[in-house]
Amino acid sequence: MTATGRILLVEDDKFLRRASEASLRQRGFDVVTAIDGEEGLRLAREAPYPDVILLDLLMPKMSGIEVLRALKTDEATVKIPVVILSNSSRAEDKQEATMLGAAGYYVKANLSLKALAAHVSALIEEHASRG
Amino acid sequence: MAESRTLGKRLHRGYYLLAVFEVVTVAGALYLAHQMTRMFDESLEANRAWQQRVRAYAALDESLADVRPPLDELFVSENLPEERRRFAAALATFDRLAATARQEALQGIEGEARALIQSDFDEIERAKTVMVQEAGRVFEAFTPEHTDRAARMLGLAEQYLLALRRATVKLQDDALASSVQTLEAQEQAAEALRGSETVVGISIVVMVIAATLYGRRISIRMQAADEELDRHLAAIGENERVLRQTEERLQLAGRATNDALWDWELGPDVVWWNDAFATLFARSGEFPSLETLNALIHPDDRDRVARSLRQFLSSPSDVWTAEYRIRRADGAYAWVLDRGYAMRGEDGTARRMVSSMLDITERKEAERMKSDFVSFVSHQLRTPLSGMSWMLELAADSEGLPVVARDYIADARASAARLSTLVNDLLDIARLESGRLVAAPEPLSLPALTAAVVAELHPLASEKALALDVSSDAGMHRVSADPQLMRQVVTNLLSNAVKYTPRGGKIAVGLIEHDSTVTWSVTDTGVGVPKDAQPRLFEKFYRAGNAVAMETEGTGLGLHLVRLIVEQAGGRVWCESEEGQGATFAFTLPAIAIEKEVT
Repeated sequence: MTATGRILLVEDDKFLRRASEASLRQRGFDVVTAIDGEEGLRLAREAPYPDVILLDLLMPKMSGIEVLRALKTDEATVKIPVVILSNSSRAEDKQEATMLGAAGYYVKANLSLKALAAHVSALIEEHASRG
Repeated sequence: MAESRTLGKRLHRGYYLLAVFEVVTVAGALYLAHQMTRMFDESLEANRAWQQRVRAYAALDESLADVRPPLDELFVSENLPEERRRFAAALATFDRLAATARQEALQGIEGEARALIQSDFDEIERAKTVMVQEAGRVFEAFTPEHTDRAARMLGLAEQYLLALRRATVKLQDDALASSVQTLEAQEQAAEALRGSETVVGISIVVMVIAATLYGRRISIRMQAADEELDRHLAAIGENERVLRQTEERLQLAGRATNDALWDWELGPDVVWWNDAFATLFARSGEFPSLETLNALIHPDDRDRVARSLRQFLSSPSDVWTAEYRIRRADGAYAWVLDRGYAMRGEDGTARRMVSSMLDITERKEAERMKSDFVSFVSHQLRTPLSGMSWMLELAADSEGLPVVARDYIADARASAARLSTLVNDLLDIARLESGRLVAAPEPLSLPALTAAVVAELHPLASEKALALDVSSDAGMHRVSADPQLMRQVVTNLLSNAVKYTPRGGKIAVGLIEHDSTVTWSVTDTGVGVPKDAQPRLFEKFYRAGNAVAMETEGTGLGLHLVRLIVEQAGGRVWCESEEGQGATFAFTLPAIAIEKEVT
């Protein structure tokens, strides 16, 4: 099955970025990557807008939470679903992200690439059906 | 004690007897004195009366001296009228005196003497009458011319006058004799009284001796009582000293260990706390009471502590422990380890509870730092771990790999998965222990959760041909708990049962609801838990010897995590087992009421 959609992947860890990018591309997604929060925010505001943003929390220059807050206060990006991929399972982090409007929150160590792709597909479908 | 009381009673009785004896003796003595005084007065009066009487009778006798001369001198003077007048005058004086004396005798004399004296007066009266008749004849017969006849008559008259004088003398003699008789009678009475006097005197002597002896006995007894009292007082003093020492020791122990102590009497709801407690927690003017004690507890911990205490008091156990935050006098919160001991009545009801609080703020701080460290390390571990897992996943999905390489990759993925579980457990424990894993309790159906976990473990159980049954009573088995954490509890307990039960064994899960408590249990036919290992089973990193021998992969974290989660949800977890005969692991949770579910 080949999925379609444009994904912005914001991840500072080289290996995680590479693995998730490869996995998503293999499944047919169009993937754009950013290596920190600043770049991620910049790419998110550039057309063509991504269908889904995968966002790490602990990153240099600008944290995932700051990026999320910026995205959700910007008219142009407010509707793009943002999935948080962190390795923090702190309830506070999850709560904050959810409050700011994150569409999902996953601990990377407990998530397979297969499951990640499934979540992304579901979000894109949901978004498309809503128009 | 009883003996001295009997002695005291005897002394009392003796005292009253002695007092009665004294009163009687003194009254007797007073009566006697009164009688003697009266007798003396009467005696004086009687003597005086008799003396007067004797004098009066003498005067009566003397008055007769004037009666005779007119008769004699008639023959000399031959003046008849004159002599007759003188005779009449002398006789009148005698009559007057005699009448007065007789009247007095009639009134003043009593008894035999009166009759005697009266008869004497009668005799005088008779003699006088005869004498007066004869004297009359003398005066009638007298004429100056013929004196012979009158002179012969005079001789007879003189005879009668002598008789009269004898009568008056007899009166005087009788009076004297009577007065003597009276004195003798009085003397006899006095003699009789003297006898009573002796009796009274002896009584007084006996009384004084008795009082002295008795007083001595009482004083000896009093001395003994005093000594006994002194001994008692000394004993009381000693008791007080020991008590003071004990209290001092308690206070000192509290001070030395920096332990705050509180003591709660459940019946009257009276609370006492030691100086250390007052210094550490109470604000000035704050008196010990259950309310103040409760108000000092951190609001986030208050319900948990109250629940735990309630549960403990209604259970049969003696020892209670809780860790919670309590407000210090300076307003900051301190972490304390509160260890209580309950004294129970025969029916098992807690009567009194004594507890010591150890300030564990520093330990808690260290724990927090440790848990921060564990969090940090775990988090840092997770990033390369997830990189590894994802790369291996990609590799496993690659095409055209040699079979051997595919096997190696599968093994590497399994190892990575175990590492991931280990890190998750470590993180959960660190957070639960620091109290920072905020559980999100919601109404939860334990049967549904159990069914989901059983389904998940079914492939593993089938592989070992294990029979896995779930049974439950009519209860709802709904609890308030964090679904993620509860799932971990049920998974850990069930996967342990699967892991440690040999091929072909049985695993039975049971759910019981009773007294607003749900009890979940799993019983297996596995290797069981050795007795010595049971109390330590829920400690961190602890693994029973026979479990290590059978299954090398365990971390010793699973059951510890189970305990932390269950206890945080207000429940209790335990294990019952005979080594080699299977084991039962059970936990309780408070059941939630129907109305809670509706809202």
